[in-house]
Amino acid sequence: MQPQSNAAIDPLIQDNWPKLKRFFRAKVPEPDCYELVQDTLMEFVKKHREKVLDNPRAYLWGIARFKVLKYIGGKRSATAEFDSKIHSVMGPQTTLSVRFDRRDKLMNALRSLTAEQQIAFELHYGEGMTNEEVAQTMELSPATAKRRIKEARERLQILLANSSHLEIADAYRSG
Amino acid sequence: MPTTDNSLVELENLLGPHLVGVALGVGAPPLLANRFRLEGIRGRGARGLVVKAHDLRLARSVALKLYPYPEQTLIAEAQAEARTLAQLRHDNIVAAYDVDFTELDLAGRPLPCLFLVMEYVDGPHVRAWIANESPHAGAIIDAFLAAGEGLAAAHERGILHRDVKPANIVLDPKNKAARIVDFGLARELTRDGDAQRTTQYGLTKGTLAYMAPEARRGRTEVRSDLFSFAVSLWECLTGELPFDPDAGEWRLANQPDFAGANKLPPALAPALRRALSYDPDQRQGSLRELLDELRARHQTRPRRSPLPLYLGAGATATAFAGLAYAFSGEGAEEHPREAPAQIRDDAIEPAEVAPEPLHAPLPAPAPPAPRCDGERFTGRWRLTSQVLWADDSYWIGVEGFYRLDLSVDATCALSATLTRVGDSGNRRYARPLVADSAMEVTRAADGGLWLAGEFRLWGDSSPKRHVFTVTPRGDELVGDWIFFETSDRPSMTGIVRAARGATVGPVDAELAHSPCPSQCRILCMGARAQARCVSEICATGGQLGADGCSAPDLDAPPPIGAQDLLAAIYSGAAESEVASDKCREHARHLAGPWRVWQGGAAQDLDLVVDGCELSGQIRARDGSIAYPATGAVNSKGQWFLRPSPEVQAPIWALTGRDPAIGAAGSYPRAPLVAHRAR
Repeated sequence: MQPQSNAAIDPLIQDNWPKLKRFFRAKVPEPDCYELVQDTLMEFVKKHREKVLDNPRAYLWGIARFKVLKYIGGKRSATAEFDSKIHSVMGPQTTLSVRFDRRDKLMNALRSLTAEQQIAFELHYGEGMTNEEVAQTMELSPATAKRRIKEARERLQILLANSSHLEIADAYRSG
Repeated sequence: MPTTDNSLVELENLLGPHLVGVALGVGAPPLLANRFRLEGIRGRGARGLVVKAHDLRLARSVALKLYPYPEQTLIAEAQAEARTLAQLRHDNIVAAYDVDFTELDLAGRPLPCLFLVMEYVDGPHVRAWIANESPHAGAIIDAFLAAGEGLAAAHERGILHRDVKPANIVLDPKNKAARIVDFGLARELTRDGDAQRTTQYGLTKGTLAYMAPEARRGRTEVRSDLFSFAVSLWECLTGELPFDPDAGEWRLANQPDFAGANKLPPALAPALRRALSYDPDQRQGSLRELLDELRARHQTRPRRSPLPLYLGAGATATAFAGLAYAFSGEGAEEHPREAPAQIRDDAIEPAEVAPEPLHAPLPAPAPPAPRCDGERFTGRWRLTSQVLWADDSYWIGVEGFYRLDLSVDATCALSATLTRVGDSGNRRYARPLVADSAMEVTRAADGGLWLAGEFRLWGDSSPKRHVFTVTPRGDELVGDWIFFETSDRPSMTGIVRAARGATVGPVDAELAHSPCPSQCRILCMGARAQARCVSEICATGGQLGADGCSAPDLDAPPPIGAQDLLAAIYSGAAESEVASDKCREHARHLAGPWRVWQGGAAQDLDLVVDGCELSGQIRARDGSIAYPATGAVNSKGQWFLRPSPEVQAPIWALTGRDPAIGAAGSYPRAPLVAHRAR
């Protein structure tokens, strides 16, 4: 096997891998989070090669969102259908407290939102997407997207009285 | 501020895209040290990145733990340690093969890395297993007992782990074993880790939340691993860490009780509590001893055939789908709900007794000759509590009525069901409030038996706790009751009386008639002050006078009512209440002489009452300070005293009558405890 050193990795992958990684790490345990990043990028690249996309970013994140919701839905017991508008990524099956350090406290508050609220918050504050971009990615109306983001922010403020939502966004981005 | 090492994230963000590229057919898999083909990222600890790799030389899968930018001076030490670890071979230990140093070339940038080569185990760690499979308590205990074997074997070879935690126990699908991983690598060698987390040698400590107090101070030993093992098992069984991970030294030493105690299988509580002792000498002497104790109390039924616990949900790519962890202890029963065993010479396994519904008629009484201290308490008791102190004085004098059903199992572990039936404040419950818990029997210095337990009557997630501590007096039990509305400070305390049979007589509200340790718990503020009272006054058979408690613990949190009142006054927000019958009623109880501790200083107070208004003289015990103060009582019986304007002294706010408990000053606040002088 002849190693091709310094093979040019598509900048698209280079740029988006860390972002997708922190998105999945915030919702899915190791090692599956890494597999989901890979799956998302593979699917995106395939599509990207097939045809020109109007909004590649929204498409990429749409895949990511779809994959994470499918993963979580697959992990829950048969008796409780996963509903991203109601349930958080930490289902009743998560019995362990993870209160180790500040970042984990912030991340756990994030994880306790409904899946939709968490994703909306991360895309907007973590990835810098506008309302419209969030709406497109999540297949919601802009009004609904705006409402999800607001719900997330307000709930985080209740959960973490002495942290601002910007601090939480920072914690998310450092992941 | 992220606590994860930035260089780890950097490495991860370099390697990840590279591996995606490989999957897409662009570029070759990265090669480490010309020998290991990196295949996939598995996880990221606080210190090292775990990567699955293929060892080209030995043609096998390995797990590599990569430490970027290691401290050069410590590499040799790491290699020496690895050589020792490499000799550890045990079914319940994930083998470490080698440690070496290299430069990893990714995207043309050489990255210096120390790397540890480990056996590759394709299974989840315990944390992920619990999150995904929701195993019941028996399976969790079995997994820990198995991993504990590996740890004990290492101890017997003189090797410490230093970082025992649930994430370091992995479940191996190949041999269905729980295996302990990541030995000795508390010596983490990163360049830009958080400086406060390193010892003097530049080594990062283990995960703080699981660390024993002496280990935090750099004196790790065998019993530190034991401590961490107990914390891990506790967390996995109850879902809560026994200690607040942010707790400082004093909290570890003075913790009133462990979080999650009511969710622990009662049979295991004594062994685990002992292992969590602050003082290593109080713990079991070795991990082996703890394992033996746990095993004795965890009765596993003989395995007829290996039943798969959980079948995977179809064929998916994830590692733990389709795996069956056939730990024994499977079955529907979880420990906390197992029926109490009947006590007979031929002890029946709990599983063979049909589970009794709660509130069923009592089982047959225990045989006459008690095998252990707990047996004399078994059966049904009627309990009455009477409030002596409360954050809101409305509750003073109110009685609570309970039923307590106690039983022992074959190992003399006590479990109890408490039912709150009602109270004299005329509250009726739609259905009685019930809680199960373990109870403990201890012998005091004077040989007296004490029975104690903590119950949560309002659902799992609520912090409301009832703590009962009683001792036999004749045929009855007497003692104290402490109620926690929030988790960290009492909101009510009182006296308890319990009797067998249909009725309990009225509670004797005269505190001086209660057992001395109960008086200490009610009158003294803070765990250390209470302990001092018990060991110095009660042990010598003394009586608590008004001076019975010495200074309160300086860090004891004041009652919420007093705290809020003080804050309101200092911020100018408090409004004087219109005099009402309620505040007048409370105020009547306050007139006269008091002995007060303000922080560490003892003072005297003479209070004069006029309606709801208060005035008085405050005098230091040594006469050095004396000044007048005025204040008022509100309708909750909360009262404050403000020094006259020319005096530079703090404002006092207290709740209760005798004792009255509160705080003085704005910041820092000193605790206040006041007793009627007799």
